[in-house]
Amino acid sequence: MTVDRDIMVLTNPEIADLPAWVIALAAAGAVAAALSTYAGLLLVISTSIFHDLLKRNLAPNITDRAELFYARLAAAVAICVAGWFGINPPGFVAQVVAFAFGLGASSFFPAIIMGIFYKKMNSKGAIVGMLCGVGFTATYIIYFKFINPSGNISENWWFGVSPEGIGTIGMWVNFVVAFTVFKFTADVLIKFNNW
Amino acid sequence: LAPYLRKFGKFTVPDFIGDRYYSQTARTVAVLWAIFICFTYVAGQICGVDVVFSRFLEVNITTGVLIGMSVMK
Repeated sequence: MTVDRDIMVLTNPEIADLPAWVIALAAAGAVAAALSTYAGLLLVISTSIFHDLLKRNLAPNITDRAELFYARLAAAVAICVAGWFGINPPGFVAQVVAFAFGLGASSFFPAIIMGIFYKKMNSKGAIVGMLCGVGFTATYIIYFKFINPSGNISENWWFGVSPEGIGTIGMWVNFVVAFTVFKFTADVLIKFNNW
Repeated sequence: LAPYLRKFGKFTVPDFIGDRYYSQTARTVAVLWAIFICFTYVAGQICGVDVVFSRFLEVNITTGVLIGMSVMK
């Protein structure tokens, strides 16, 4: 057994010499939490692929039977890709989850907030904002995790922000780019004034 | 945010973004990012599963991943 940060979290109850049933409960809790999240995410991935991408864009006239087939295919492919990531993990568990949340913050959060609270915001601003926000965050993470892992020290980080926390900056990149693009392409579409 | 989204009548993020901004492009961009983010998150979760399996079933990480995948299937 190799000792790393993930194993340390898991073996904490053993190190503390707690009774066996506490250790078992902690492990069962870990598996339950991970598998339930995993199932939910696979559902989201397969639904996104077959419903949003396939049905709305590529093949609007697809039959229900074919849709179900593609949904299962998408889920199977997603499991295999996820398994590949599991064998070659990009980092420790908490780190990878932090990346996912950072990417989420830098893509959807500004688009949703502006969509709800700033009724003049238009599609071009939102699209370019999302592209730039995630582009910035993903580039920063990929650069420090895969291209130049040895340079992943606090002296090289922008504003002293680690790749795990860069989503915060990516979020502001998204907001600023969206507003800039909006100012140049202001075609006002207000339909949802009274909701 | 949930009450606002419920008022809008949309429950997935790509649906909300596509309908709020009247744009297929916005919806597609949102879907692609959603899939990308979900894969990142899934990678983290499956790491967690296989750490637990490999620790308690005393197999190596690759076998742990395969067990995790077959449990899901």
